[in-house]
Amino acid sequence: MNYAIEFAGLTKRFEQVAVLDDVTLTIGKSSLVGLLGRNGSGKTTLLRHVVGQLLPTAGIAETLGRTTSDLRRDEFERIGFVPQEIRLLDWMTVSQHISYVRGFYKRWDSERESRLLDELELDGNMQVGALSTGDVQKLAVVLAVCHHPELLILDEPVSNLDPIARSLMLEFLLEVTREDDATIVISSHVLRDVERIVDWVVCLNHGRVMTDEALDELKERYAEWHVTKQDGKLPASFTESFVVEQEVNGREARVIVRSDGADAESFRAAYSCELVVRALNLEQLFPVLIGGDQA
Amino acid sequence: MRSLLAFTSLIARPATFLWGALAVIVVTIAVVGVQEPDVPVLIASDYALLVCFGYPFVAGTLAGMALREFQSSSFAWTLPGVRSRTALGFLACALTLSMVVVALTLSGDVTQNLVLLTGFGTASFYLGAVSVHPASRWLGFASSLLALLVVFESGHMARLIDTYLLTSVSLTAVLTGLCMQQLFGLSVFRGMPSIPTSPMAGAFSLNASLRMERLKLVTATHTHVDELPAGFDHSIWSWVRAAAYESYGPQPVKVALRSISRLGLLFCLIVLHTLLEPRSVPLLEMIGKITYDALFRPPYLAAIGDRPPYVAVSLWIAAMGAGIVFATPLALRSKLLYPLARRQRSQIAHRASLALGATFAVLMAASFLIVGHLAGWLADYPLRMDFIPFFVRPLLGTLILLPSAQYAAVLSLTSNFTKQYGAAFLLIMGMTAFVTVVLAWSFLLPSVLTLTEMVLSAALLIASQFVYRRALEKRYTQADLV
Repeated sequence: MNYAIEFAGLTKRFEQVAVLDDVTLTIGKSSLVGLLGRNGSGKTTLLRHVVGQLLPTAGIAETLGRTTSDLRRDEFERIGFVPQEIRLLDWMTVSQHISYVRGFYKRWDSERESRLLDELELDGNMQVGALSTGDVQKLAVVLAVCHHPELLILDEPVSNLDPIARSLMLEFLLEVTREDDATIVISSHVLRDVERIVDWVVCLNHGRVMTDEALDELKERYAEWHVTKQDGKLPASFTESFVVEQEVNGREARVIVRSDGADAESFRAAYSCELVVRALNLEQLFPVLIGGDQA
Repeated sequence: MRSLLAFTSLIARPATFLWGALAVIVVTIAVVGVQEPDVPVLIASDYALLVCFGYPFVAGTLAGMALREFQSSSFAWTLPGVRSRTALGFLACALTLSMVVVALTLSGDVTQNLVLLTGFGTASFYLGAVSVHPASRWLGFASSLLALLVVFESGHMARLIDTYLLTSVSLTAVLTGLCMQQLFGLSVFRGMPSIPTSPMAGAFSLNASLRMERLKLVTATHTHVDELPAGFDHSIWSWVRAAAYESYGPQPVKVALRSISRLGLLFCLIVLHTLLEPRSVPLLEMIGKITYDALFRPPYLAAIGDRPPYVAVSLWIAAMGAGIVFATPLALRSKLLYPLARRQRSQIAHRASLALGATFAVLMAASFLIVGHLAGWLADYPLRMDFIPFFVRPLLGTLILLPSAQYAAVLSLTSNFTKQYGAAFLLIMGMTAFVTVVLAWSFLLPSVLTLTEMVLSAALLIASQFVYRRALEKRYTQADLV
């Protein structure tokens, strides 16, 4: 078994609407995968399939080598899950909630628990219902990682955290990967944060996988050209086949190109312009990725 | 042992559980005190069956609410072995509670069958849980009906069990098995986090997270006041209409009719009561006579049957009153910012409560009058209007006490959890007080409402509304609104 997660032809329909459409995807063990996509693209539905909470309308879904409809105690001992919409037992205190969840697992790292509570500044005596949204999110992460999961599924885990807590959380996730050799799938709209930790990117759009590739390769594949023309105007649009996106404004243009087909020298000569090449970050790449340009 | 803790920890939250238990014991004593216990029969006496079934049933409803809340949480599904562990803990709770209750009951009557009563108690714990769980509506309905039968027809039921022992045990076992399957089934655990929780306000579902789910449910189907029909003039009553729109959507009549349809359970109970009564007249006529008597209790007719279901009618009216306050409240959303001063919010809250109370009174009175007269026609009684029907007293009592429940509902919107549980406690105690007072009122005084009573009732109604209004004003002007 080489994959932590394996989907083949996975389709999920709610009524007549296909939220996931023929998704074929494998996520290897010990990967750090960023699951990206616009709102309603199917990310949460996909992650719910990973933990077996939703069942496919068609296709195959396997997690840790077992069909997700048949996940058992042994598999759940190895999975950690932070859902997007966190509903905990509000009437318990933080400590009570942790000790309650601890009871379900054979192994529980109390040292990690207290370190996390300390670093994330969570008060064990606070009632869960009285916590801020960010603190609930922190608590959900604590609950999901103290049993040393092999597979950690995080659906928008840092969306409500302040920058300091977010940074702490991301560092901790990297540490988890190192310590536990865990596979982490993280869905987030805060792409700068995702970029810091993931090594693989999966992009969904309208329930289809548009991108499934290593982050470094993606970054190498695309580049941003900052084009300026001193005399005269640039054309309204560039027609070169390697141009993926463009924003032309008179004498200046911002062009995203596929690195493998792009020839900067010829471009410069053709338009008599100056050209500065810049690397793209994930946020800049995102519109291209959901467009599925992988030629 | 670790497995058992998975569920027992969930219902270890002591306050409500203990208070609820206390209240239930008081109710039981009140009910048993009013209804003289039958002569004990061989297997299960009237009193023993009532306590050994009724008490675990109520405890089971609390357990069901706790289970529902746990299953609705987003973290439960991925906990390893969650189903088997919670199921084991649940069974342990059911058995322990039943054995304790049976032991207490047996101290007064040594002829009981310990194992049988423990079995019935355990089953009723499951039935109680199913009655408040969204897993199966039909099973919930059946369990509620069975519970009502045992509570209100314990004498008949005890005799039935005694006569058809094997059948009773088999049916109970099958029903318990179905409940187990519904409560701890794989699909239930898998699907519950995606299901918005029931709007029914119970001890465990009064917390903010679940209330938000309900708000989301309402928001998903209805929009804000901007879409109100023409005629919205920013007067207090217009805002009450806005509250009705936000609470029930564009067709509030449907909600009212749905509330009235719950009376069907009461009439099922009356029909079953009739089937159990020894009778010398045709069934339909007997149903008519008993229904007419239960609702109207006319002074010129002797009581029909061994034990007319007056208690059921009284309790039902109170339960319906509590239901409209907590399950289908009429209120503006607490977390939205309306262009209203705090004093206006309090006025709107009071008028909305008044409107809800008035609608409740009219609907209940109308439906009881219609059904009662239809029953009288079935029984071939002459149509007489020269007496005050029996149901008027419990209805008046409910209307007098309704503001206190409505105030508890207002508190629960903004209070912290401890206070909310306090509100649940007040509700239970209020129901207990209501049943005791109304039953005493109904049975100790003459069957015809006297002038003094009418004047006193009117005064109490006005006084309770006045106090409620002052309390709302104080609350809305001095407390946090979210």
